[in-house]
Amino acid sequence: MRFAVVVHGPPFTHQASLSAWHFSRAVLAAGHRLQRVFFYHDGVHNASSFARPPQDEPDMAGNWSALAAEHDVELVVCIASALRRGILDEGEAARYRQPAANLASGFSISGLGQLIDAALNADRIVTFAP
Amino acid sequence: MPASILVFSARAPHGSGLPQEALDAVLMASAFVQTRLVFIRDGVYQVLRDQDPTLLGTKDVAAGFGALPHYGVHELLVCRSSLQARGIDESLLLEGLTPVSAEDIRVLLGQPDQQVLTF
Repeated sequence: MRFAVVVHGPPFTHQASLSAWHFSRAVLAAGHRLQRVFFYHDGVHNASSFARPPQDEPDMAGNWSALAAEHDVELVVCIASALRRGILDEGEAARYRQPAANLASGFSISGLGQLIDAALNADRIVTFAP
Repeated sequence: MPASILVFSARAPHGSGLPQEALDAVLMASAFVQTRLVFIRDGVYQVLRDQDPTLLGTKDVAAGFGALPHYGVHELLVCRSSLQARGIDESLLLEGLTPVSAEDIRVLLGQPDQQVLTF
């Protein structure tokens, strides 16, 4: 089956992002296709390379980046949600004259159309929210 | 490819960004396929009349509901069970909403060729 996963929860504050990551790994381990992970609402915080959790806590940006690299999974961050919350790639950082970009590796910023595209092209779309 | 998308909006207004983001998703979805919006659980608070969020200095998300028919979203549904559980009489709702029963929602969920998004 083709799955899409939607993440509404930020790292640490809620379990949603960790559950989404475990679910994503399980989908792939079971031999299904994970078409896209779409980060919306507070889920965009998963994409921040500025987050520095303690060593004994999950590094969600790192976890997602590793998943993307290992399994060639698309990690898409909604631009509107990201801008509101201060998650910027190089292009947006330049556009808004911010001192730095913080989009973690493996993530890309795109539009809400990517969520709808995922909903229309996956067999199952599963949302993880606080 | 699904022929329609069903969006549930389940959070109370003003205190959460999800209602605005749910509306944005509905508008985007309507550009692709037939889209229905259902207010459930605390989401029914979004469609109470006579709210004034400008007093908070925050955006009035409900002001965007009026644009939905122009995007082809003609079905704005509100869950009767959720209203009753919260003691909200249907006379207190914005215009243009259709109250539906839990059974109606179950029927909607059972429609073939439909994808569901929840906010």
